[in-house]
Amino acid sequence: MSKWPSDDEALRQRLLKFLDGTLTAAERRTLERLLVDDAQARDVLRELALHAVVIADCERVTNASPPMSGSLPAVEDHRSAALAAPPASSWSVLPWTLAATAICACIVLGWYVAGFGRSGTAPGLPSREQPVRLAEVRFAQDAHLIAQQTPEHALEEGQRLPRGTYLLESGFVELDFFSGVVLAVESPATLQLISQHEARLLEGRVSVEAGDAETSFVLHTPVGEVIDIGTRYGVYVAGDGATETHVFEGLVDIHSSASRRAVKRVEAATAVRVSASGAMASVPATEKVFPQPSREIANLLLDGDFEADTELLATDAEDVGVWSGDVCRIVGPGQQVQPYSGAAMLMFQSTGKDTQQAAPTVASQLSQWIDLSPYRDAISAGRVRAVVSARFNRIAGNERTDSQFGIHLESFDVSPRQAQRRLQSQPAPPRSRVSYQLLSDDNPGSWERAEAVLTLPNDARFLQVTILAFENVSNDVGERPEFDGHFADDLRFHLDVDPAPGDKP
Amino acid sequence: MKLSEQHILRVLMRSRDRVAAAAWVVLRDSQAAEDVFQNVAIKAMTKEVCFESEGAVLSWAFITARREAVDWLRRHRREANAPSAEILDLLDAEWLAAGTREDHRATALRDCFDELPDKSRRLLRLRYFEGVACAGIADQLGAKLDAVYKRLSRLHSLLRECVEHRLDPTRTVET
Repeated sequence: MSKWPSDDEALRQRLLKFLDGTLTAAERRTLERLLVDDAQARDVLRELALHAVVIADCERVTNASPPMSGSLPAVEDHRSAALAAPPASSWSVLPWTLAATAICACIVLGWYVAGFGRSGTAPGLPSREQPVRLAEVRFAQDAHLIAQQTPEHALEEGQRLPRGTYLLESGFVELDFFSGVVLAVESPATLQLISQHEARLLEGRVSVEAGDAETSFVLHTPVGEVIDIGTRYGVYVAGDGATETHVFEGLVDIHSSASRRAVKRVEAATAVRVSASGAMASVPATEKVFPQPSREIANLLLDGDFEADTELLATDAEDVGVWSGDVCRIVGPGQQVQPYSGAAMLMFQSTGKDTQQAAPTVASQLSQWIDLSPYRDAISAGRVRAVVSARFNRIAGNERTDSQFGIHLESFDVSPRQAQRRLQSQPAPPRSRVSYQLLSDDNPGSWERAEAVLTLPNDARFLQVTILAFENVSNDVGERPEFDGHFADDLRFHLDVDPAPGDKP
Repeated sequence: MKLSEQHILRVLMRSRDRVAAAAWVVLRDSQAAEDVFQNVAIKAMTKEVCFESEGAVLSWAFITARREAVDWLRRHRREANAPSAEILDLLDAEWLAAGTREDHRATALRDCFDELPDKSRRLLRLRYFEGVACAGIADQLGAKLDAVYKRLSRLHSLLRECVEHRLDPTRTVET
């Protein structure tokens, strides 16, 4: 084999760095321009991608382990069977319906007839036998989770589960369905994974975080089905099959097996018990006794995109959901700076009086309060992190142009008004605070990203998010505006809530 | 005429590597790319989508794979570090246009990979099967990061040459 041209080699190395995420922002921009303009460069990128997936597939074949019980060819539906190409000797289909069986047989037969195996690869190799994986064990705490037919192999965090029956003998796990639904399961529990949108709880206690999955999630129970309508809920199945459904947010429909026409719509903060005989009755709703899946709670910070309709108050506001602080403006593209996203961005203009230090500051700052009270239970258990990120940019300027930006998160156990009063005292009281500062480059074409993460203290009630532009080079006292062209955009905020088992009922 | 499920599945399986590779460009994770392909295949058979031609199946598959890949990143809270939408659009069009030629390359590539020495396979395995970043590989091998990039690049070159030769044994590679 001969040596490949050196320019191609150089391009490939740059692409490898790009895919590895180790290019600088400027290198990445240059490469992306090349990829837009040059079809040959894209050919090399596509080749690398093809190599990556084929090499991984070859290794999967080499390293394939025996199928887990979860693959259960006997209960694979036709979709799974189609992708799994099970060995003919073990393949059979439960007679759900004659039609399903016919489709199944047709497809599997078609598989062999059509010769899906690549040349040199016989059908039935392990990579072809891998069943469709439906979910991943995202979190496990003191858990002993086993697939029913291979109890000798305990399943661990990170493992991907195919269809099958699973027993959680101890501890707590969180299953992340590839449809976007998350199930938190607490022991003892027996659960069948049916598809990405369907599971059956035979016994035990689970919480379902359906989120914004586009298809409803169906949880079968011994006495019926629970179908979400974009929601969070908990289900408990007792030993006799009686089922309680507690809705935390949104709505669910409960279909009783006793009467296929009986559908009970259950709203948030209410609960319904269906007895083993199918009788429905309301029961007090409670969330605490159910395991809590991890959650990402967004939409708590308003107008982080700094579009034209964003209201900015040049004062210290005490209201939640309002940007306030020093003089800033919402502007469109200008000074060779394009908004990072959307049509507008925030422009820092001047510094003000620092309420925290009671002295002129060298930073222009803008803040917003966030009310944490709806999440106090999780916060008091130390399970919540606040995550904020923003993009910053500035004009090229000269050696006297300021270059420092920052992002702060501070939590308080009192209201915004009380917090501001406290902060005006000297010395400022201790509080939980995290800040991240960066020095921006002089390229108006690039936006630098800053992120700050704060694990909320147990008593946190309110959180203040602040973005800042510093006069780190030249303090232009008395000049208006004090900043030559300093911008922020695309501010994002969310709470990460860790999973947890429920309280003992 | 509407294609049958069997026909749709056959088209998808024939282009499995291409579709997974398109997803990989977004994900940089081979396992996740495989999951995305499986989701695409399931959707093709369970959604109320009708396909009149094989081209329509593949066109839909590439669009869906990209959307699924972005969703996967969001669900797994990984930072999206994919090429720009403009580049992905161009790549999608080229994956589609590549047709069966690319599928034959993938087949040849399997044989070429099998022929590599163990040491080379180990490096590629670490990077693409185990998903270790090049900095991690450099640590494991006690090599410099740039040396890892060079070795990987060279291996990709060798694989490319080998594939070209298998597809056209009469071809000579220009040096």
